[in-house]
Amino acid sequence: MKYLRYTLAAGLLLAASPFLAHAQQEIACASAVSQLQAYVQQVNAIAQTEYYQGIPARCGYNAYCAQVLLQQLSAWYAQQSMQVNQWYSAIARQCSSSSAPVPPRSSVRKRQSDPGEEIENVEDLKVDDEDKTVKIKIPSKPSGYRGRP
Amino acid sequence: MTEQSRREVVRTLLGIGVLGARHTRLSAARARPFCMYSLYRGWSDDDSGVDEYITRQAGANDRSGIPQVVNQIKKALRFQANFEILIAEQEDNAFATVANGRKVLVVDVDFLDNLNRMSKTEWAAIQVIAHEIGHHIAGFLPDRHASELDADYWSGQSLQRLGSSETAATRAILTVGTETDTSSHPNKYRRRDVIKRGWEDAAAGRVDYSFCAACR
Repeated sequence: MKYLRYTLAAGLLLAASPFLAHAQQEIACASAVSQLQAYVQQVNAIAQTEYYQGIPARCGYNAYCAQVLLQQLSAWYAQQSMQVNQWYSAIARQCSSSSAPVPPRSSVRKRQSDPGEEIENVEDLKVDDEDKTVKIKIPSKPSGYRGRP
Repeated sequence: MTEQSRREVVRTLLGIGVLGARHTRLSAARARPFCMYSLYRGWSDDDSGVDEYITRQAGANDRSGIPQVVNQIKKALRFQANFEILIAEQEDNAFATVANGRKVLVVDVDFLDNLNRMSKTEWAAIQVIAHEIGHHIAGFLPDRHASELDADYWSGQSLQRLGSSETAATRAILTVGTETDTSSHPNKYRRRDVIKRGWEDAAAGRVDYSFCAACR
């Protein structure tokens, strides 16, 4: 009887192992996304603070100073954004290549009434590459019109 | 100076640039693009609720055709500079900025395609790209209207040299420019006049360097 119980337990464990692996993968993906979200929040918080407090406090009415600092902030933010995009792509790629589901894209477009009021889900950073069929080129005619459907 | 007035200074400055390089939907502080061609609205901010992404950096043979067009414009104007070209989506915009000493052009290709359709000329997209390059030629002035008009002049120069008709060169701005001046952009009639002037100067083999603050 005791042997039977052990056998049943081992059998159940084996049967559950694919689900366990799947669950672990899900947890890892969710954790990665939430860590990325936390990072994004930090980046946005820094940008907000610098924009509303740091730069105005340092520059006052000195337009040149503010412009230079804002350019620096912009460059930093752009770099952070691109990095986050890359990280998110990597997470999405890795999580979708396994059996674990990728967090769904939010179907709701949020509108921001105040800067920094909402931090949108990072999954929205995923792009659909809509422009893949569009190619811009110099027209051959002075009118530039060839008639389009 | 009150906190409110400080904010106003910064917001005003943001209009001509900077933090607004709308690189993702990470909701930057009042994300506003650098020069904001913004033909649709003349000027807009986050009230539009649109999504913005940078999807990729365009290589020399990017499928969008933008780097190839940029090269042709540079060649036509004999302007030598390296650009970092970023392809955006759902931006409904194109803008120029400088980041870490690099000249950046951000272009939403679908926006340009739609603009071509609305303007009924494929020179519309070229004019927008040439306008953004014009910002880099002329330099970025604190006077936003002057800066936009400078860029418009160079777009007129570019389009004539590339073979557009005068009508086609001004079609985009007349189709979707704003009727009246906005905080960031002159009205479409002033802009049309400057594009036209650039076009006519190019046709006559002239260049008016008063439209180039960086050349002075």
